[in-house]
Amino acid sequence: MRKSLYKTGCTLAGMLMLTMSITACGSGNSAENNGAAATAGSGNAAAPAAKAPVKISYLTFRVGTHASAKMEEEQIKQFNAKYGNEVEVVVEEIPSDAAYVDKIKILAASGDVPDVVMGKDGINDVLIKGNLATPFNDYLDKDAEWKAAIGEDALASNTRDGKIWSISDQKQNIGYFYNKEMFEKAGIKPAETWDEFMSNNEKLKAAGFVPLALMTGENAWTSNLILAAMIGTNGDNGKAFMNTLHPTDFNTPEMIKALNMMKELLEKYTTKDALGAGYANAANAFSQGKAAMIANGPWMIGDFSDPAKSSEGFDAKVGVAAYPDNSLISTYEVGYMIGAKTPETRDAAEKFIKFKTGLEGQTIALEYGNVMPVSSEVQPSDALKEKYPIMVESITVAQKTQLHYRTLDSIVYPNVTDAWKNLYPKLVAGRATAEEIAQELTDIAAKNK
Amino acid sequence: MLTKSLGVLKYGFVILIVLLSLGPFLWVLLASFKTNAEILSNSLGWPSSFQFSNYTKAFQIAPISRFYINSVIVGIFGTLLNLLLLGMAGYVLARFQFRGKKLLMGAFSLSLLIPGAAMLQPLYLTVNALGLYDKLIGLIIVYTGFGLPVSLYILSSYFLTIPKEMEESAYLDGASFIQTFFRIILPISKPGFGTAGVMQFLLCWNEFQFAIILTTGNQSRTLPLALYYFKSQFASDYGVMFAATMVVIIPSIVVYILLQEQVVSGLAAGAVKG
Amino acid sequence: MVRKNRGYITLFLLPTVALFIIVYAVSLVILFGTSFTEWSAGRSPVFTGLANYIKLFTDDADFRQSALNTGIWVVLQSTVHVAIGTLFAVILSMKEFYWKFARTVYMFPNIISGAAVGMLFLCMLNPEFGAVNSIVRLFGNADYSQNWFMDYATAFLSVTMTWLPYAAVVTILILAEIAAIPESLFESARIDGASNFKINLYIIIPMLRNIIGTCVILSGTSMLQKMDIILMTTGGGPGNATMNLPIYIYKTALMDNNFGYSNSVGVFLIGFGLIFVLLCRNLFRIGSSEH
Repeated sequence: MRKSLYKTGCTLAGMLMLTMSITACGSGNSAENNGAAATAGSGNAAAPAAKAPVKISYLTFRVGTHASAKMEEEQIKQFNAKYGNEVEVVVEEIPSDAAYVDKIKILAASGDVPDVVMGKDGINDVLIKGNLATPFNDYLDKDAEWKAAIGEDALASNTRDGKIWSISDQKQNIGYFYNKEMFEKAGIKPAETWDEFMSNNEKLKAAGFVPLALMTGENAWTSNLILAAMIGTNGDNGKAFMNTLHPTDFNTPEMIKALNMMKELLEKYTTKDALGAGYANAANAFSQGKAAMIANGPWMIGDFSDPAKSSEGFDAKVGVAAYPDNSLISTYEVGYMIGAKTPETRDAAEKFIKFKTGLEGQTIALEYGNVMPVSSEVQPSDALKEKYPIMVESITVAQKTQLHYRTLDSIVYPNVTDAWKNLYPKLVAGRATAEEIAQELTDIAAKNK
Repeated sequence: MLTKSLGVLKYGFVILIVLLSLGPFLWVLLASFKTNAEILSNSLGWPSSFQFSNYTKAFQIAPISRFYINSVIVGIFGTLLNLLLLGMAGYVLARFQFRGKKLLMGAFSLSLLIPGAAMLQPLYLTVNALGLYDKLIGLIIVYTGFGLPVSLYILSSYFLTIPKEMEESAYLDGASFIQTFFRIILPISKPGFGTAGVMQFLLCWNEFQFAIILTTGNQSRTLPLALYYFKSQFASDYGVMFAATMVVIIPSIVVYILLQEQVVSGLAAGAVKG
Repeated sequence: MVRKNRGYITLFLLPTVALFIIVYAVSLVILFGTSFTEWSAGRSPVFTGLANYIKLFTDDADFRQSALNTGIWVVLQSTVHVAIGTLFAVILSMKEFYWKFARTVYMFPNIISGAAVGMLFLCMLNPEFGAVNSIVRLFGNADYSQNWFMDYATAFLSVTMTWLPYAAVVTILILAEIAAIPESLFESARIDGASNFKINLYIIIPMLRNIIGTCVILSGTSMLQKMDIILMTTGGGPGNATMNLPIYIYKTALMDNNFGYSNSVGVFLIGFGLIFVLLCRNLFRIGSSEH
């Protein structure tokens, strides 16, 4: 008996050692591969005549039904037409944003970051802390034109300790869309104060309409835009909070007041399925004429004239407005980072990112994805203006606004973004007060590593 | 009286089960032919006109046909490999007493318990180190492994029901160990292999998380990934989403019905042996 | 027989052992090893001893709720779920006119991937346009609205109902086993004048001990992996009412970036499952042959 135990123990130990050697071997291999790629690259550089394009890897979630899928396709197509003989972009499609974030984190934990990475949803933090990205400072210093096309503000929003870690490819100017017909019947206009906003809701309800298309599932997107506006317009503290990266204390009077207001909206002024609803539910509620308002950005404009999503002529009924107190959400996306490890792939990655974020890339994004450019030089074409008059309206509305703040998703840690879907139903069910929810948010932010 | 009310209860139970199983499927089938507006306003009714465009759109948006082929390859080979390996191991574990058997059974049981989320990163490392990253064979091996505990339990518990006399008479006739296994045990274990095979095939056919972590290109991706092309952030077309769901579901149902015939013939064989 | 066949035994086991090492052993070693460290994505693990475990057991309300829910679901699945499947198998084994149809249809929800099932139920139970509320409105109360997945009163039950009645796997496993029972046994029972009901109760069910035990283990432990349906429907909410350990592991690793802590929850889950499996194996004396 004892002998057999000893034997099985030995086998087990043997198995463990074998597995250890497999993993060790694995990391050794990948280093070797990188080395091989580097020497191959420099070898090619010595003989420029036969220079093969540098391969870079790029993962994208902008595929399938994603609102920006067309723009992504067009950007890559045009990049290949222009630089295809120098750089070969190996595109990996990752359907679903959540799966994208998961995969990048797994790759980062294994030291295999792709050459070009979109830094959204906290990926930028993981790469920066893990020393897995290359800052853009040197590249930008060499190219004043590109630097100008992105602009000081956009660069500043992605700078930490003087290092520019990512290049923003878009500015998100987000107000809300409203149904003009319903507003007329209720005898109201877009609110200028929060009191008016609340009384508008009451009037819409009295006229037999559901005022707001809210949702608390997924990342509670359409609800949290309004929550952000409530906090951002609440004095200097609120404005400061909504412009702070990674707030750690949610236990503020502004947050608590906003949560209480949101509770009222969710209880009285939205669809029956708002608690737990996904973006699709809220978007459909508005586009199908079931709710009077939805907070969302200009990429939604295309939906209003898409027969699969809206009824005929719906786009003529849609108006766009800023939030009360003449304010607007204005965020620069995190954008693209360089994860490449060798000088060659780094340069190639930079070339690709430069194309995507430069004037050409921004123009494509605007024309194909209704995405707001970061540069004021990029303006919508006449064709686009004619096709989407709301686009022009939303640009005008944005220009008039005085007060700006960011989205919650872009300032809080990703695990806080993930928590709303559980916390809102708790708040509305009365299982926790706004104060307690604020405390929970604080605790969750502290859990972030 | 008792038998009568038992009969009523029995049929009530059967009808309830059938409704619960069929209802959701039919609801989605119907919805896949509706427009977005109809799904939202008239959720129970018949579609006013059948929207086949949902299906054509589904095929345009995601590389469904390529993923189909991959899924078929992964499904078939993942199942065959799993049945062969676990059939052999299950037989030995069910029939023979040897040193380390308990430990081995314990270790294999462990595989039923390791949370998938905790395996994502380690498995990525292993598969990459073995050079199987972004290869169908990588997925096949990983899924063969994922089916290890279930197939092992199903097969070995089936082997336990086979009378030992069957092999003993085979040995008396001079058959070797391997001959006995392949010629005697395998044929009468068809029902066990049938059920294990169905389970394993469905696992290969439906797994999403590891498929996306362990592959990069469309040449090695499987069908469940196609579903997510319709669920991106800021996507809201239910009709297309349901059509895509149907496209993914229907072949698995057809495959199941076909495989099931195998199981049925196996059942008949099983009945004969008694 | 063993001595003579030792070579073959090794030969038959070796591929599976190799498979186990490749797929599971590496993960197990990393999982166990890093559960004693502080480790986040992109950085190296730092040894912290038992700190993760101490926090887990003393100061983590979400973990307690998740563990409790997981426990409840394991118990429900290994009892109610298996009972439904067994009962249905026994009924089908009488081979009445509908048996093939019913068996095929029952499998449908199990054929579909978890994510698709979750999406399907999310739409079916949607308070605005879902089929369930529509049916209730059709039969009476026109204003009826119930937010099944987000109301504290119904959330847990609603999630449970997406898997509890769907025991087709149990049914086909048991059907296959019933087919293996020698026909002679039934015949002699009938000659003795036993009714169908009694044949089922006293002859068939006791013969199924091994397979029912297997079903209990497989069904119970499937709850230790359940994630996609919950993520798709309630996301663990409202609050943490439908959170379970797999979701907690997933969130801790990929949302909080806390791989080390997440892996200590994983080790707990494995320990929990091991106790469950051992308990079942002893209870059903699995592995011992009847013949």
